[in-house]
Order: sequence, then structure tokens, then C-alpha cells
Amino acid sequence: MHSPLLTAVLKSCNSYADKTALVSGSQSVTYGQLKEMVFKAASFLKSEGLSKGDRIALSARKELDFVYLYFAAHLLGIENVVVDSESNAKKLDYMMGLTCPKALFGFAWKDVPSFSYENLDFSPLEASEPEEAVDKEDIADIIFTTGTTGTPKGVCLSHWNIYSSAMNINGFIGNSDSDVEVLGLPLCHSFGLGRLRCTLIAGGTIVLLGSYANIKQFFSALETYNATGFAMVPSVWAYIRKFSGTRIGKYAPQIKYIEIGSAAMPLESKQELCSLFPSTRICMHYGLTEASRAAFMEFHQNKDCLQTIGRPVSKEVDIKIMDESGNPLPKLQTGEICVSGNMVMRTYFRPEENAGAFWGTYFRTGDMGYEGEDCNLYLVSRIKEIINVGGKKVSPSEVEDAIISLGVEDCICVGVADPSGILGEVPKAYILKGSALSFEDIRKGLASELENYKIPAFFEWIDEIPKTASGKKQRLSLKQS
Amino acid sequence: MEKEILEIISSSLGVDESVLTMDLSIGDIPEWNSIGNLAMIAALEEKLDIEIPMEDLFELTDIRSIISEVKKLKADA
Repeated sequence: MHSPLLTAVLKSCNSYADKTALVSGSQSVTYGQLKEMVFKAASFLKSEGLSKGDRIALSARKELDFVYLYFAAHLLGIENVVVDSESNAKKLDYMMGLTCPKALFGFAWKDVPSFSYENLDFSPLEASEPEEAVDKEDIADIIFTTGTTGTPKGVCLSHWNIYSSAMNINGFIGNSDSDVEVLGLPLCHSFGLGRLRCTLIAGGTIVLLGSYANIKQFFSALETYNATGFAMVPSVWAYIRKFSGTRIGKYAPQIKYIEIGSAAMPLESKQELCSLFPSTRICMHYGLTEASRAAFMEFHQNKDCLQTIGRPVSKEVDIKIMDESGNPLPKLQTGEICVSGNMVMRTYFRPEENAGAFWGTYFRTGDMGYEGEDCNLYLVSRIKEIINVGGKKVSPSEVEDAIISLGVEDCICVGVADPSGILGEVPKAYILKGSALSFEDIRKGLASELENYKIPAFFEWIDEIPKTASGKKQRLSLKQS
Repeated sequence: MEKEILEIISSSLGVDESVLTMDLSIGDIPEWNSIGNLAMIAALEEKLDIEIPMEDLFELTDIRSIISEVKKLKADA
């Protein structure tokens, strides 16, 4: 028996065989072709000696071969380690060393057999339907999140988790087979990959752009494919505004839905979206890779309380506000947002990382919030110290370690508001006074150590690094000042 | 002028000048993503003391168009 997700995707393939399923660049495939190519990709994986319980790592890009391999692995019960193609060498070493995949796609690492998407050719292979029995509780995907400590955490999502999440989302947004989505989000994150799954199980068409960097190209895709929806994070909206003003409003009549990922979004931006898209379902979610899209709200329906993060996405999901001992709190009392439901991961890849991650079946998000009198949830603050740079997560300790490795005695890194108002946050580093290196030296030194977006936008000298009695850096004390 | 513009672009994107062909477009190289694009526009504006109008930003999708825009703004200044 196939996984629930693949059962649903194959149902779409059989129901809409001649309809376009996927577009990437100049390539376009129908649902019939999608099924054939997924089966062929499965034949390829088998021919490489891979089978149920094995693990492969995929660099998640907009290539169609990525999509075929991703689903083919699910059909065979092979676990997908989904990797960001922009991961630095240190992170890649950690992820690959931990998960030990038997084959790599789209990137190379040490002597593990690797395949570039450009050189793959599944077409001569047999397109027969695999007969492997896949249990819905088996691990489907492993996605790494940025941990505060700098060590990424592998989130193990079961076949049931990823299917349930897609059903929850489609139920809220109202996706259908008439949808055409233009997707510029990266596929390596839960959000973008989720959109791919949602569209394909609904029988819609998805156009993979890979990025929103080229707004002209994005608008052109909306026009060419007569798109009915797209998904973005708040920083993408700020970027669209900067590079095109409000001209996206001309597409409002054709846009049925917009899904927005949760991150701080100014109230004025939400109001502006409401006025630019008066009849579009503008759905903002709250969630984490571990508990994908736990809550949703729709802008027009919540026009009087636009700052809510909404309510549980479906009746299969429950959200409680809990105190420090895991006791549920009454309305209006602030506590930790905890999520239980069909899409919540069961475990991190390293079981020891589960310590403190759950209260029973409720995943502890690390975010503080409360339930209002109106039964809506409100986010108060994120107690985790991750810096969110335009949707990309940066671990402060990773940046600090890189700075210290250059020869600085000590430093502390926090997220501060991006002065351009586009990225949300940017990293700022406080360097302990007395360093022989100038800020410019540090900035140059970091260029070979960190991805560009992780390099602090601001530096400042500090007399003493604020620490707790046990020596833990108190980053939030600087962030709030 | 063109050399100076290319230097600013290469330094803000963190790439070698040799990759900056006239037809190179946003998204063609990983460094020229949305964050790189913002950094590049900010660097051009700051270092060359110009302000690129929003209606022009939309059209700046490759190296050729950027050079032409910056030259035009400098000439108008």
C-alpha cells in the first residue's frame, strides 16, 4: 500500500492525466507524465540498490527531477533528507554525518554516491508501479531546522504527518483542482515543500519559480499561467512592494488565495493587502517545521483583529497555552504555545533532542502567546533566540562561533530590526572591547565562513558580554534594549 | 563608470567580477537572490549617491539594464 500522500497524488494523476501538473522554466509536465516519471525515478532508485528503510539526501531545488525523486522515495519507503542547496559546508557535514544517506542528489559530499540533476535521465527506465508496502507512520522526510545552539535539529516527519498537513491546509484555504499556483518559495523548507504537496493532491497546477528575486518574472508568470494563487513570507511582500509598488493589485481579480507564512508583518501591510485583494482569501499561518501550519487566520474574516495568529487549522489540531510545568492556562494568560495534532512530528532525529520538546503529545513551540476572549490566539514573543532574516533562520551562536574563530575573544549576536523594513531582522554582533580586529576585518573574515545573510549587518563594541550565573549568554537582554 | 558599477555589484553580491556578464539575470547565480539584490541596490545607491526610482527598479533584472540605469541617473544628476 502506498503512503497516504502518494495515494492522493496518484489519484490526481489518474483523474487529470492530460492536465498540466508542474511547470519549471521551459519544462511542463502533465499529471500523466508526472506519474510516469515518478515511477521511472523509483525504478532508478531501485537500480541503484536502494530500498525501503534506506535514506537519500536531496538538494531541494525547482528541478523537476527533484520532484520525481522526492515522490519516488515515498513510494519505495525510502526516507528523504531534504537539504537546502545553500547550506554551508559545516552544516552539510553535520547533516550528512548524522543521517548517513546512501545516495545524494543535487550535491556532493565526501565519497557518498552522488548524482547531479542535470545528468539524470530517467526516460529509458521502466515505468511500473512499485508494490512496496509503506506504513503511514514510517518516516517520509527529515528536514533540518536551525537550533538556537547552532546545531541543526533533524525533524522526522511521517507519511501521515505530511499528508495530514496538506489536507489541513487545503481544507482551510479551499484549494481545488482549478488552482494554478506560482511558487517562488524555496522547496527546502516546510512552507514551500508543503505548497507543492497541497497543489498536487488537489489536482491543481504548480509553477516552480525557485525564488521571488525577479519580481518582473513573477508577474509575468502570474499572467502567463493565469495563476489563481501564490505563497509568500512577509519579507517577500516587503520586497514586492519595494520593487513594484502596488502594481500587483492588477492581478487581484484572478488571485483566489495567498498563503502567508508567519513572521512579524506590520498591521499596515495586512490592511494594504486587504485593500489590494478585496476578494482573495489571504491566509496567514502560524507553524514550525515540527508542527506545520498549526493555526490559520484569514485577513478579511479577521479584519477587526488582524494581529491574531488565528485558530487551529482543523479539528484534528489542538493548541493549548501552557505554563512552565505544562499545565493549560485560562484565556488571556500568557504562556507557551503548545500544539498537538496529526501533522506534529513524533521525534527529532536524535531522540535526546526530544527532552523538553513535548508536554505529552503537545509540542512546545518555544513561542509565548495567549488565547483572547474572542477564542483567537495571539503571539506575544518568540522565546527562542533564532534570528529571522527574510524567512531564513540564523542561529546566533553559529555567527558568534564564526566570529570567535577569527580571533575575537568573545561576542554576542542578536537579531535587530532591518532598517530597510524588508528583511524583518538582520544579525547584529556585539564584540568584546579589546579585540585586535576591526569590524571591517571581522566582516571580511566572515565572508568565507558564513552565508551572506548570516554576516552581521551591524557591529558594536561592548564592555562585557551579558551572561547568566551559569555562563549562558543572555541575548534577549540585548535584543530588548 | 562601467568598471566602478561592476566593482560595486561584485562586492555587494560577493562574487568575482568575471561572472558578471551583461546577460546575467537575477536568480542566475545563487548569490543574486532577493537578499543579494537588495544589498546590491543599496550599495549602488549609497556609493554612487543616486536614488533609483521604484518604477525603474522593476525593470532592473540583468547587469545590462542596471549599468544603463545607473549611467542614466548619473548623467541626469
